[in-house]
Amino acid sequence: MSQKRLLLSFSLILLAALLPARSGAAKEPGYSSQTGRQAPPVKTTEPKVGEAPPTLEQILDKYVQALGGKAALLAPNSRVMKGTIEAPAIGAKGTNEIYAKTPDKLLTEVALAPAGNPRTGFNGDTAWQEEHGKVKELTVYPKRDADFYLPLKLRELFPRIELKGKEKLGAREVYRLEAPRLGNPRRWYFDTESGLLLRVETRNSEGNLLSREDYEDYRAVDGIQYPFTTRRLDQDQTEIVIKYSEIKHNVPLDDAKFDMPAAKSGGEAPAPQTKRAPHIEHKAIQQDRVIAGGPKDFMEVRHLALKGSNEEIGQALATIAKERYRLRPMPSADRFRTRVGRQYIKERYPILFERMRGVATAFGRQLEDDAWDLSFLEYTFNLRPGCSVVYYPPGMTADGNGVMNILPATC
Amino acid sequence: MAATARPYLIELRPDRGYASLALCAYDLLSGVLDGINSEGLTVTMLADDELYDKFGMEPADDGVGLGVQQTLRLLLDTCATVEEAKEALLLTKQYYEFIPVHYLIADRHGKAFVWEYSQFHNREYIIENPKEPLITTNFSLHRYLDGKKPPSARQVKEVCSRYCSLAERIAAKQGERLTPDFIKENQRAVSATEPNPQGAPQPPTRTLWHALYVPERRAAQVSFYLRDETDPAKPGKIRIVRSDYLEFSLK
Repeated sequence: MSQKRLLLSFSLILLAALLPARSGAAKEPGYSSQTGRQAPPVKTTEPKVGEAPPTLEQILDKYVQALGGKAALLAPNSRVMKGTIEAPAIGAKGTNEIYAKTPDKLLTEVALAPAGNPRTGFNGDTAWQEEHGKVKELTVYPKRDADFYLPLKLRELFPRIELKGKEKLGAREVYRLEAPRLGNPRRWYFDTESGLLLRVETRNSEGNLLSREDYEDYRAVDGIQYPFTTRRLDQDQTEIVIKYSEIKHNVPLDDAKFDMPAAKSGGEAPAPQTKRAPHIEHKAIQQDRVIAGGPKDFMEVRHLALKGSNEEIGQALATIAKERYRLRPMPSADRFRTRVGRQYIKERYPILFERMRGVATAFGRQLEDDAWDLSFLEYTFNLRPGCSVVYYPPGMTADGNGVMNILPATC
Repeated sequence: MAATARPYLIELRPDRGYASLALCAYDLLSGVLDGINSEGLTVTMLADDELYDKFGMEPADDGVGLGVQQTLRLLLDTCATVEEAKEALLLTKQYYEFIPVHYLIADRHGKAFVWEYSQFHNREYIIENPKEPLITTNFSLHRYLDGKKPPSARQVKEVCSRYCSLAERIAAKQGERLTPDFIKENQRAVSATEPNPQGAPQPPTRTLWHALYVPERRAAQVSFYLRDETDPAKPGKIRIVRSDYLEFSLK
């Protein structure tokens, strides 16, 4: 998957914040997109004889009731959601925070350095995006999705929404609603039994999938049901999983938080690390300079020379990761594995363990805190190394020295 | 921006562990793609495309043990010879984060080996070719062994043309002492040079660097890919621009 595609995926993760759903009987929808593959095609079925199909209004009313009712939905005036974000196929993971405030202010912050730590904001008037520390205004933005009371206003915000029929979605029966949206129709799939919203997807005019979000693990917060897991699939079949660990209502949020950071605005975001990259001071850094290429080339290669204790070297590398790439400590995906993995490194590779101690110091964390995986500083991703390598032994070369000849290729 | 567009040549001189020079990407802490240490141990990794094409992938981004780049960093930090590297690899619990890889390791004594896992990750293979060239590309050598030796070009003709091309060009020089110029020319012959489609959003497939490591001298020469540009001598054609060979040494 290209980094650009990943950035696009992150920038579009808005809907999850806005679609609370009821817990109902099913903990999960009766299908899975965990493999990142297309779910089986759904089949539309006709109502049984004597069974009157519900109207559009009845489905939307049931949805509101499933969420906890209109009164519960109107009670909060702000919402903060925090959790992790992960693209399992490429091993990218980070944190995801969403801030929402009435009537339609929304801010999504993704902490994932390889994707440029994207932030997407809408203050009710202007939509903007920040990547790699550079801000630009978004001329195309799904403003309706930012409405704080979207579940109550689906009919109002999508006046051409229609009931298309009853279908099977994996093991579940669902009602499919659809709105044309200027040729890129959006589809909503509501569980016929619980009223839960199980899936939202957008297609292009040819019917090809542009994006899909599946909602799982519904739990109540202040009487409102939220899907604590969202699985997003975009058109190149890349799956992104968001798992929320904390959702709070009525958190004081300053309106200015949603405004475009004016001081940084303008232009396309350049590559994050160029000759203009900040000069970083650390006692272990002996040299840190560009030795080949530059901002206008495909490659820009830096020679970084470090000398000192392994803890100092780890601290220097983490400082560069933090200041040059805005890297943040990697949240643990599994605290048990993080603890055991750290123990393994401590016993089998104490040099790396000491470097991790320096990483912890640079990030202001405790090395023994299982909440953070401090054994990596991933500033780019999607490893696909190597092309061709030849080792020529000493007896074959003109000067009698062995030579290892290496050619890695673009990924 | 491609993942490998901002690599580092990281030179470490720690108070514990060997000094090293390594070309790094992805993971700033341990992200070794190839490198050499003060004892002359030289390491690199290559994707094993065949393994995942035929048997699928099982990436572990929360594995316990060492990932592939951490494993190469471990070798640079702690091993002086091929024999020490073999021992370290056998003792290390390894996993891959993205795709399966294999390693080629050499030392200052003229020894080298390829390390591979079976498709089920249940068996390790150490492949050597004493006093002969050892070629590795993107398929599993252990699946095509010629006895205990690496496969001949004929054996893998249908598997990897780059391997065959390299093997045949070297075989054609049998009995001759190979010069640095020949070695560089040999690598250019298998460099990725496909033109970039007009308007393509992604960078073309390019060989990112040509690296020559000399374990006995703890030294390396590296030429980096910089860009494609219009060839002034051939209107309408694209040429590949690379840096000069830059020289580095740990001495």
